[in-house]
Amino acid sequence: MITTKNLTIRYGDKVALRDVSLTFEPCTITAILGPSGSGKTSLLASLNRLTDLIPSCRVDGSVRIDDMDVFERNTDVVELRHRVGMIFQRPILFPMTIRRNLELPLREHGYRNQTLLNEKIERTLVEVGLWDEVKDRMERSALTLSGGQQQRLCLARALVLNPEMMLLDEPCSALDPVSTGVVEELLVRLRTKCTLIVVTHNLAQARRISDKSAFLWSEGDGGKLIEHGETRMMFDSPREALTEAYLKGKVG
Amino acid sequence: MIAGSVVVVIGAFVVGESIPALTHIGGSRFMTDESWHPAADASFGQFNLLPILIGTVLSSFAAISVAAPLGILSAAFCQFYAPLRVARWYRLMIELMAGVPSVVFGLWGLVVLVPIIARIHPPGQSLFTGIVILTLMILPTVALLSDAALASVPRSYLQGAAALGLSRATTTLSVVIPAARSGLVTAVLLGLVRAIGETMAVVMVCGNVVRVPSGPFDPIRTLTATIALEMGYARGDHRASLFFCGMILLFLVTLLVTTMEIVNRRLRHGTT
Amino acid sequence: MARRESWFPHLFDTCVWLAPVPIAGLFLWLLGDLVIRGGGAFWPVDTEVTGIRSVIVIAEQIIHFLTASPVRAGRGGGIGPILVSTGLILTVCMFVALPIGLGTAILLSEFLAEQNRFGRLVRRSLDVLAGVPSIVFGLFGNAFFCRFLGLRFSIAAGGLTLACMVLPLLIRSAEEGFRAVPESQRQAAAALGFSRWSTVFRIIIPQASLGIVVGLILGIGRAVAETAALIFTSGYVDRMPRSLGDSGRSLSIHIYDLSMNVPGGNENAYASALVLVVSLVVINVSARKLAASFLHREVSHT
Repeated sequence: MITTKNLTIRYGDKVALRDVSLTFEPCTITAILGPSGSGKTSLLASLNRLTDLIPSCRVDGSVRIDDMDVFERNTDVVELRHRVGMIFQRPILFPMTIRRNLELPLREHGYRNQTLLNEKIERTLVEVGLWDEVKDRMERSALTLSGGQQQRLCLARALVLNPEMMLLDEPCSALDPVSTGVVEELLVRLRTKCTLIVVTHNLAQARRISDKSAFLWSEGDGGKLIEHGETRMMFDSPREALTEAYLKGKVG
Repeated sequence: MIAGSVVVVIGAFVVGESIPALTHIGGSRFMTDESWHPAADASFGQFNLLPILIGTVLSSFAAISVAAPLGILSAAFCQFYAPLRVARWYRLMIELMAGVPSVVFGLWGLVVLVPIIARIHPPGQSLFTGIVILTLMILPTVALLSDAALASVPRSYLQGAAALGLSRATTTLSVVIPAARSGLVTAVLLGLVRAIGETMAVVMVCGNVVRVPSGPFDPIRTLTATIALEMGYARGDHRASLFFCGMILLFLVTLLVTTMEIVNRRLRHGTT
Repeated sequence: MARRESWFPHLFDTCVWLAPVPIAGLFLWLLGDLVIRGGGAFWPVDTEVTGIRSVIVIAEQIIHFLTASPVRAGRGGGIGPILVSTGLILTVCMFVALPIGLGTAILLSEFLAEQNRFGRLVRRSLDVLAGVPSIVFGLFGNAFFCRFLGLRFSIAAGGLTLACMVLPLLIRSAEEGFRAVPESQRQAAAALGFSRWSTVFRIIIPQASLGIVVGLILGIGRAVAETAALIFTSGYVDRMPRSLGDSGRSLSIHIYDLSMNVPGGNENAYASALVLVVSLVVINVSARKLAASFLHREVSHT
């Protein structure tokens, strides 16, 4: 279970996210909704401490995963990112073979036995539905795959580490509708073993796949949490007027 | 940690150059002595560096004043005027030129140019020959850097100029060159730096007589040549004075590089 | 309106078209001269030898020139030992410059933020270093490597001095190679839990290897052409060197010596110059080809 409490994220003087407190239940899919600039990506980045990569970023408040305080100094970031996987908007694959893309993270985290590696790789590729498509091209460059396949490969690469949580930042926005459908189906299947947090612009998608939703909105001085709850309830009868306006397409 | 060694190198430089501190047995003598007839003991020799300094200044400044317009014009040629294939070959040629070692330029100058100039106005080895060779040598530097500067002007400027119906000349002169100002200034200053620092070609082609030239066809000697020629046998204070020449060169170069940075910063803040 | 300016653009246009003429003219003259005079040293003296036999004779002469020792202060014989010395000097140079350069480039581009004060100091000193005249490097090399470190006139001293000269170039090339790697790669690696060093070694360097190799090759090109820095550091001796501590002459110094100090040495000076320029061309072309082939690999990957 992931909880954020009074999470505020600043880049230099600019506030990206203001005072957000959320809980993500295990084995659920939560959609993070909101227009551009509402701090959705920043929220996601803070959950696996990718904010460390940005020198001007300051994080106040707390993020806890079960009993681990994410931002505490002693926290093992490598271990954290073993437990929390991330998928980006555009598939970011290493310019190497398909096999190596999947092997590298495993080796990095200490798995050396070649048979074990092959086994894990095959299992994960089956899980994302790519095995049949790529089993004969494992030694070819990963960049030769189509957009949808690349994104699924990214998912496989993250899944091969067996994370408890997956953070997805608009995973389908660069994909065509067919690939989107495949990925969405995969995400729903993954729910049984992972907690998924999906940032999305696509309201229909949120409705389709998520159990819970959180709506962020910024007036220019940082994204605030406007509403948070069961997706069905939020879409059918939102509590806040702003939420309703956004969901109806009137604003944002 | 490894970068520290880089800084050590720089530091060692300063240490190495402080050996000429021994020179400060001289000091103002570098300007006031009768001539340059250095000896190992400061009290026996003469250390007037002025003619040599003038030699350096004259040759390099003259060379850059020819090479700068030529280089910039040729860059403009390459970028905007020449058909694509010609431009590609031309650029290749300039890049080749940039790689030719100074001894080869010097060799050609010595064997080919000097006799020709000797026929016009003896002796062949002179300030003029030096300027010609130096110009040839720094031209690729200026041209290539200018080329890059011109190429980095945003396409939108060119489109805007074309939409206004401006001629190629006007576009280049009034739009592109001002926009590429900082890059062009860098190109010219770096060319000058190279001219000041050039050693082998000037040794081979300038005559190496220590004298303030009375005309362009007189032989001259530069700071770099002095170091190159005398280092082999210099001892004691003489050696220290050569290091002092090195210090002057370092000083000139640092001055130019700093000027370049200041000018660049000012230019970049001036435009948007 | 248009009439007032009608002569000026034409004048400018003319200038632009004229400018490359003297440049190209003089340079092609130089090149032609180099090839003719330099190649002339290999041309068979015996005019009765024609056709295929002349090609063989030329080839023999070239090989002889490249392998034999200089005779009569270089007026005759070849440049064999000199090539060996040059090669050794370059090797020392690269062995030293590559690790330091790579390390510094990694530090500058991966570990230090843009505004970091130390980083800026290093960068600025590298810029200054890049502009320092080669003769001053020679002075420094002489004072530091030859005297202070006691290496005397030796290949080692020459190589080390050259390493200092080549360092800014290498670092700049390597840095550019690193910068060419998109930020997204670093993000993806971080998200997968790669440590900083792992990211650098397993992800960034392989992708930046192009910039690094090109920088290396260009560095070699620059070092080969160097003369002034080597005169007082690696020495003048034209015999075959027996160790890195031996003094050895580089090709460019040989050319200088033959043309300035050896009467009648011009012919072999030209031949050596031809060898030098040809090797430089080969070096530069291979650097270019390498860069191009890498680009192709990125784009097509089959």
